[in-house]
Amino acid sequence: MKKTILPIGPFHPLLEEPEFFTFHLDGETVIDVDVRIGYNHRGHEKLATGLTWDQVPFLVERICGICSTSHPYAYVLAVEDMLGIEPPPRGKYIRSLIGEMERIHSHLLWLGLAGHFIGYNTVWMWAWRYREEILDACELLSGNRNHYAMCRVGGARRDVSQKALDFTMKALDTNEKSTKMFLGAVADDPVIHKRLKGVGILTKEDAIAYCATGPTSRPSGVRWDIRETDPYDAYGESLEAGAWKVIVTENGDVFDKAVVRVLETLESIYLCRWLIENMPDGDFQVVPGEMHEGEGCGHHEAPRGEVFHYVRSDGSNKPIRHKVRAPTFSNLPTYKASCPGEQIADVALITAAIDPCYCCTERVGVIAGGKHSSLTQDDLVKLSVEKTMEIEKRMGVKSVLNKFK
Amino acid sequence: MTDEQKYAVSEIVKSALGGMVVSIDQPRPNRIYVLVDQKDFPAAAKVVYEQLGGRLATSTALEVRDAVELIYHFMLETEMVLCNLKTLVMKPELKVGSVGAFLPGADWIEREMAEMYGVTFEGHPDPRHLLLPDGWPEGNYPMRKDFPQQPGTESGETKPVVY
Repeated sequence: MKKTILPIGPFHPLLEEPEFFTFHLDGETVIDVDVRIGYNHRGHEKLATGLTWDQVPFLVERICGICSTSHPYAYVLAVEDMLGIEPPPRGKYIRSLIGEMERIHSHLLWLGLAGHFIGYNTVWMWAWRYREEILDACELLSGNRNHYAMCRVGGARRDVSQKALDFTMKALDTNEKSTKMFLGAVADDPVIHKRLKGVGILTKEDAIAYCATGPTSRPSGVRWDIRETDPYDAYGESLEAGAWKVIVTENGDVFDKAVVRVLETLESIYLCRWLIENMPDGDFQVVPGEMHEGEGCGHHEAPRGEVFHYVRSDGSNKPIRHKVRAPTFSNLPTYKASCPGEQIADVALITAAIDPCYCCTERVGVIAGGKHSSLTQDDLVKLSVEKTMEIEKRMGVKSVLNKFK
Repeated sequence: MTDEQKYAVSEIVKSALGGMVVSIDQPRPNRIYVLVDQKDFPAAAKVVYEQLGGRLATSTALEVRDAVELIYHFMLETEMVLCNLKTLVMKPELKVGSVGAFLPGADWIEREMAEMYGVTFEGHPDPRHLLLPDGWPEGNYPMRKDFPQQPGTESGETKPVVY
């Protein structure tokens, strides 16, 4: 049989991140897929061994620009596992709250992109518009829209104010309404049914064999959620209290992956609300104490699946080994199972359904009146401070940025 | 799952692996560390995957004095325990049987460990480079301690990495 080989990448307008796909085609049907990665390798594991224990969260926070808290979260859990540190309850609740806020905004981002990929640009614009409110709440809670820097070994890096929690509560209320509207749009729209149902099916057996995690495995009927099976921080208590539940569906196609993500967004909203209502008072961090020899594993259920970190210490002030596994590393190979037999036009959609992690760090350029100028770091800091103060003014909150005035 | 039930899991792991266990340790209720011999390694991983229903989270390689230590992190989802299966692959041969031969989830991570640490996984279905380019020179393993930080600058002893 004569095969056509279609290369896509490593740089392609649809791929925000460089990857190289080779599709083996028979007509328009995909027979086999091969993925080459490594164009974005930055050597974080090696870099981490040259930093002190407290500097590593800063580094690993920059692995991903979207799920930025999941890596430091998993890292501090690994170090706490190694040292046997128990953070105070308030610190645990703050970390879990940030983790769930991140899940909401990440799933909304994915929903927008998925809408864009199927040519449904209304969904794209609406999803990203409602995501802004969540990002504003994140900015008020942590001081930044993304890269919250809220995780440190022994608890949360800083406290959250009651006013910020009240604002977050309001943002969650409006977001619940809009997410329910999206659920109606996804679950009831006949066009989306036609486009997504039965496309790119990942069977339960394949999900288990490829060790897929998160919203790639759960739509295939595999109930794997680290928040439930290895509970950490506030997740165990909130699950026992019935604040949220794990979403599992059976079909494993792109439609189910979309439905799981929208339902998970709703569950995260309920969980965030429970965390704010039950936020304990008191200390939010403890001093970690002496470093000793040992090893520890930490994992966090990031929006895309399980983030896994392993650290080994020889008792010095730097890790001698730090292993990072992002969820896409497990989820990407499932192409091999879900793409063959599909039409080439559907492959972009199946790609999007895995939600590969886009790590994009770019400088800002401004073109005004035909003249190109670059913004310096000071300009960017100034713009960001101005925006935070504007949000604070709108909400009538006392500014935390007085020193910049 | 209570802590007592979790502590009982190490007995289950021990009986499933039988004589292959060199040492087993459970420092905390949800973490088990099992050391097995290099020659038993793929068989032990197969038992954890097939009999105990472990999900391979990932695996870690790290360099110790005369060996490369491999740690396969299996999450036992029903028992709610993370089972870390360890082995020491001795230098200079650095050869061990492949887990990726029967578990597709180990395919990529073994390719990464092979190119970064120079471990040969015998029976691996697809032993190509994963992160490094195809023309990467033989015998250069970036995560090894003897890999030059700045190629070609150490008194001419190391060859510059050209690809």
